[in-house]
Amino acid sequence: VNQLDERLSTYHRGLVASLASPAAYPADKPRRTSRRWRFAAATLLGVVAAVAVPLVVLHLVSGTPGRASVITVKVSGFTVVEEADTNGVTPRINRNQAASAALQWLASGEGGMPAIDGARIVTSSFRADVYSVTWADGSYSTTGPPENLWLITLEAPGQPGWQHTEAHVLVDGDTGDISGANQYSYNCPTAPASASPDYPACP
Amino acid sequence: MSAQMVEGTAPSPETVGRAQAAPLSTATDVAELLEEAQPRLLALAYSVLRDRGLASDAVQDTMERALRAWSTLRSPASSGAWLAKICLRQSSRLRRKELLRSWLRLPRDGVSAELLAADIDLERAIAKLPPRQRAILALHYLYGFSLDESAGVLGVRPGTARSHLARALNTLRQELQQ
Repeated sequence: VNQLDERLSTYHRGLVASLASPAAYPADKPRRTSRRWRFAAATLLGVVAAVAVPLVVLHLVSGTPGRASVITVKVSGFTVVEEADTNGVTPRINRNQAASAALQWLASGEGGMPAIDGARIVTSSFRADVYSVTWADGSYSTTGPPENLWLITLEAPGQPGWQHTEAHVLVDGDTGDISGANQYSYNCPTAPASASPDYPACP
Repeated sequence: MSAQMVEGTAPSPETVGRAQAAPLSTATDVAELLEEAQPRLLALAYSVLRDRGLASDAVQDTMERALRAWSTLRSPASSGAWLAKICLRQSSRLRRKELLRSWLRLPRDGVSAELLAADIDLERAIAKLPPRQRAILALHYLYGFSLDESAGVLGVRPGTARSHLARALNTLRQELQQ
């Protein structure tokens, strides 16, 4: 221990003496760069790329606005993909007007479907900025640009030709137009293969 | 300065700095004291930075700051520790600034080993120590500060200073035995 102490004391005294004498020191050599520069540059480039590329991609896909803020929610048997932050969006078409549009669509027999009278509203929900809706039986409706939609479920009592009818209707919350619809009319005991668990059970 | 040191042992705090015990009243006194402190400050800065050019810069900064702040020094008798503290702070600041640049440069090829040819093994072993451990070695063996005083200069607890010194000495013993 003492020997090391002595060496350290001597060393530091020598350090003072040597540093105090510029002649003891060779002139500084020109500082050269090394391959570390290339490594550092490559690393920097990699980091920049790692940060920039996702930002560019996010910017490019932001035409289908802000995927990062899109959420999926379950509403009355519908699976809805929509914008996350839609607080405060209210429909121009109220619930009664939307229900009326849905009932009219079912009664019209539009698209070659059986015209059904006497249906009733089972559920109705409004969702803003909706990208797509999937019904419980797996059928899918995409809306393209986000829409404000009323999601309506209808049920009709037995009537000539059809013992049971269930329908899902998407009504545009701004215009009252029908954005999408599915109708299931059937006679027991043969229910459609796509029948969801929500279907009225056959007697 | 070194004439007052006892050969082979760490100097006692009483022997550190001729002018420290006397009150300083004139600018000339201050200038003389700073002039006299420079060699050891240079060695202290070098201990941290391991680069003479940077150490000179650190000492230069220390001098400027010391002159500006001299009036705030409460006791001229403690100017040695005060200057060492400023010097270590400037050295650390320069070291942080130089960290990336020194990493990018080619390693220096044994300049300091040539400088201290008398004990190359010890020089190489010290070069491997972390800056904080080199600093406490310098404060203890160059300035003769006790561990408590060194801790005060470094701004750490005495236990931490003791730990740094113990680790440094252990490392040096191991390196020197190899």
